[in-house]
Amino acid sequence: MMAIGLLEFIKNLILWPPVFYMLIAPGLITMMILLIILIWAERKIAGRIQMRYGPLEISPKIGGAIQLLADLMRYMFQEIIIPRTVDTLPYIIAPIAGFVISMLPIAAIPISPIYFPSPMNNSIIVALALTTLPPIFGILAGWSSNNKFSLIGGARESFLVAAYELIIILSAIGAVIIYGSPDFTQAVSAQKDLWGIVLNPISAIAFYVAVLMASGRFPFEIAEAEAEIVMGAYTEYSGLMYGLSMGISYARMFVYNLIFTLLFLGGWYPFFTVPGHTFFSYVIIPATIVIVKALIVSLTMVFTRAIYARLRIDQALGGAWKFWFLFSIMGLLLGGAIVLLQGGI
Amino acid sequence: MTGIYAEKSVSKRNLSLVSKAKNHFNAILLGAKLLVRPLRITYRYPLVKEIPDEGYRGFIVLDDGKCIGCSLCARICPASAMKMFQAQEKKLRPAINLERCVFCGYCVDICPTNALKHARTHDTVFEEGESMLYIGDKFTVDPDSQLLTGRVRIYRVRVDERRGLVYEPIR
Amino acid sequence: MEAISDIGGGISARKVDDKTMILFFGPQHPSSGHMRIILKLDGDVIIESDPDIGYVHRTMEKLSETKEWIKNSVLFERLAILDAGNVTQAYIIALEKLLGIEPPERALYLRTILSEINRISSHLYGMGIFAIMLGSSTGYMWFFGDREIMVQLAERITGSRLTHTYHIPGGVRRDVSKSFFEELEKGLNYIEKRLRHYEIMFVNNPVVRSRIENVGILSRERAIDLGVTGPNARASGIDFDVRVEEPYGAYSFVDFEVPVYKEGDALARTFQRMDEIRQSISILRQLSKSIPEGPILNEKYLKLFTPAMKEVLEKDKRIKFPAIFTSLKPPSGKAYGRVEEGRGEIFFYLESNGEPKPYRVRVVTPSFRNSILLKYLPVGYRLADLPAIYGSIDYFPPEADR
Repeated sequence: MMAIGLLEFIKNLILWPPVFYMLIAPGLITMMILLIILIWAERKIAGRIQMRYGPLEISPKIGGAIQLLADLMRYMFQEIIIPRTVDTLPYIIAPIAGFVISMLPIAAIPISPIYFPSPMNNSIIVALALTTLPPIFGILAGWSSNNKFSLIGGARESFLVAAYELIIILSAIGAVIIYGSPDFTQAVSAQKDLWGIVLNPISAIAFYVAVLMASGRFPFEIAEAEAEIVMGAYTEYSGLMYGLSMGISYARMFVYNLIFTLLFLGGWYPFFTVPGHTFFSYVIIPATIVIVKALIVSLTMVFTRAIYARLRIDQALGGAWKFWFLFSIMGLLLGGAIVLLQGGI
Repeated sequence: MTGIYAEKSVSKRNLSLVSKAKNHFNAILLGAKLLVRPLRITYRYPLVKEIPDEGYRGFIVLDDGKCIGCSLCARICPASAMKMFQAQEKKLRPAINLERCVFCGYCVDICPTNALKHARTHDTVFEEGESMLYIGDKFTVDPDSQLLTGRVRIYRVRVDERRGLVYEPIR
Repeated sequence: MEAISDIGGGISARKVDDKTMILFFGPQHPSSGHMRIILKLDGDVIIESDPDIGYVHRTMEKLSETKEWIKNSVLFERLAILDAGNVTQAYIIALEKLLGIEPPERALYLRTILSEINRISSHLYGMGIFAIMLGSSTGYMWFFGDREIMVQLAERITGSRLTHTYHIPGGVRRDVSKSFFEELEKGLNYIEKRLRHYEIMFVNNPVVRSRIENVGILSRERAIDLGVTGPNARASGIDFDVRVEEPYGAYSFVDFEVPVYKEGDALARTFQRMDEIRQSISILRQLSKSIPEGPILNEKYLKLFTPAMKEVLEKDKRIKFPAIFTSLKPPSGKAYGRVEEGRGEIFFYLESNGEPKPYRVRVVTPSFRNSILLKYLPVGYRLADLPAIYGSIDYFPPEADR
């Protein structure tokens, strides 16, 4: 009796929306699996273009797919060295808090029309606000490491944050105007016939490039430029903290891509239900569709490592303020024009 | 016939926005083409091995019957890796220290009776420093006899026009 | 000057400028090579730069006084191991002047074929390091992967991939077979096809272009003042190439062009190197068509051959050394040799007083002459331009430090 009541309790606990979102999908477990797939794909794609094989030693029959698990195990067994001259408390907190807080916006991003953590009327604004928190921990890691190279890396990150945040918000508003409400479920159900990327392509392109800038993909890999400032803000880290700091940028990229999918790529449409299985058809199917779309967009973003070099900081900032800022304002005007064509707000 | 100086300059500076977009597109297209049909040039050592051709300057092997003990090879070795020692019956024979040998081939080229020759092996693992000194009978063993045995697949490298290097299987 | 004050506990402190930062771009850095550059930065702009070389000094000039004449070519080819054919050729040219002999014509053609193969290989190496310093890992892998073709072709000629040791006083050590020229043609066709890929992905890539255009500008007067040499000088408008001024080898038998660019920035230097690769391909094609038959060693040593040595020469096409090579004694005198290497002009000065070992060998390498550029060029540019300037002048620390 007690055992059956206990099992029932655990099952209800796991299927409770906040726990399901943060733990299973699209939270911790899904993020770990997707991190493995993304980093493996980045190395294999770069290897195919560059006339070599990529990682092939650990599991040659499936193309070396679990290479990242071997890397993760190595980081877990490595000694974490804390130099004597650093500021200890911020040094330890920075990568851990950075990784955890970069997954915080998932609480506001729904992946199913009726099953989400808490009903919000303005989930888009909450999600975008929560994504601005992680860069602060990058700057904190750069300051507390007591190393000139980390300081330069932190300073570069702070310049870039001011540039790309504005472009992301303006592009998101350019899409929100067309849908008419700052809520994700309303935005997705408004894209039933036509995807957002066809309605407002200018805002979609500006959002895509700003996400490249935010997560440090080539050609904007400026805060962690290896040829100039050894590893940027995370130079002095070793062991598992180094592994976490490498995962921060991939986690942020995936969260931004979830927002991109819901705003511009039609969310969970084409949506079909299987009669008789409520949980399966209202939770698993839309979650799979959204996550697969976000994964495809992330794969196109990691492809740029094999094509481009690295820009200088003043060239990236000049391009962002002179060209992409005006581009996103044009997207805003295009959104306004479409609203007027549809007959007013 | 001689060489002449040719004045040139880099045209096409400060490209316009349209040409920049075209260059972006060309680079991405080339990347996508190579992603679908890659031009691989590496091979998976040590599951697969490459054997160089005849005439490669690998390890040095002594033929004891032909050696007359003239010690010309020890006099010309640039790295002082070849030295003479007293073998049985008061004969002088060379011994080689592989830690110092640079495989230049001077000793092979100066031996008047062709007693020294190059093998095609060039990679071996030693675990102690003393085992790198090849003296006496160890110097006469030809490492090429184990070249074509073992369970790895063996290839030969050829230059090709389309792919750069192709690997032809020997066995 | 800043005042030295005592802040207690026996520690003295000195106030420095509170707007600039001193950064040690030191030997433990992913893109500094075997040297250290001490930078003074004002925010992101470099205001002073001080190269600190000498980490790879191996006392080669003194070591050469303890080895016989023929052993020194094995020592000196470790100066710039990518270009081993060009470096030893300068030493052998000087030694032949002292001995008073000249190699036959087929040997000159074979020497020049190896020189041009090494020149292509060295330029590809330099551009590969340049690409990884800019962040383009595709450029790095492509340049190094295609360099493998040239290394395999050099292995067919000499028997060894990098440490060739191919030149001896009076000629060369091995002859080539007929099938070598067919493989050479295939390799050259492949490199020509890849040059187009390099232009699309690397030189015309807008991101790479904006990193190297108008960066590290070296004007013509300044290049003459500082005494730079090689492709760095030719990209600034100075027309000087040792292959045209004092021809050696088989360069007086072929037609070739030496490109000279005017602007002097990193983009001109990159274009200069790619054009030199094209000219080397055309020289190699002309040489492989018009190579004459004949002996490969001078008569003076060839008539000392025993019948056993002649048989090896006919069967394997390999020269056996006559026993006099262990104790060559050139008459007393002084001689010099100049050769255009991949990075510039290399100059050997030999002095002999009749002994089997040299009295004095002096070598002036092109990287040592170009190292002064790291003091004057980065000033005024940003921190991110330092790897771009370093990679574009193709500086090779082991050659500069000897």
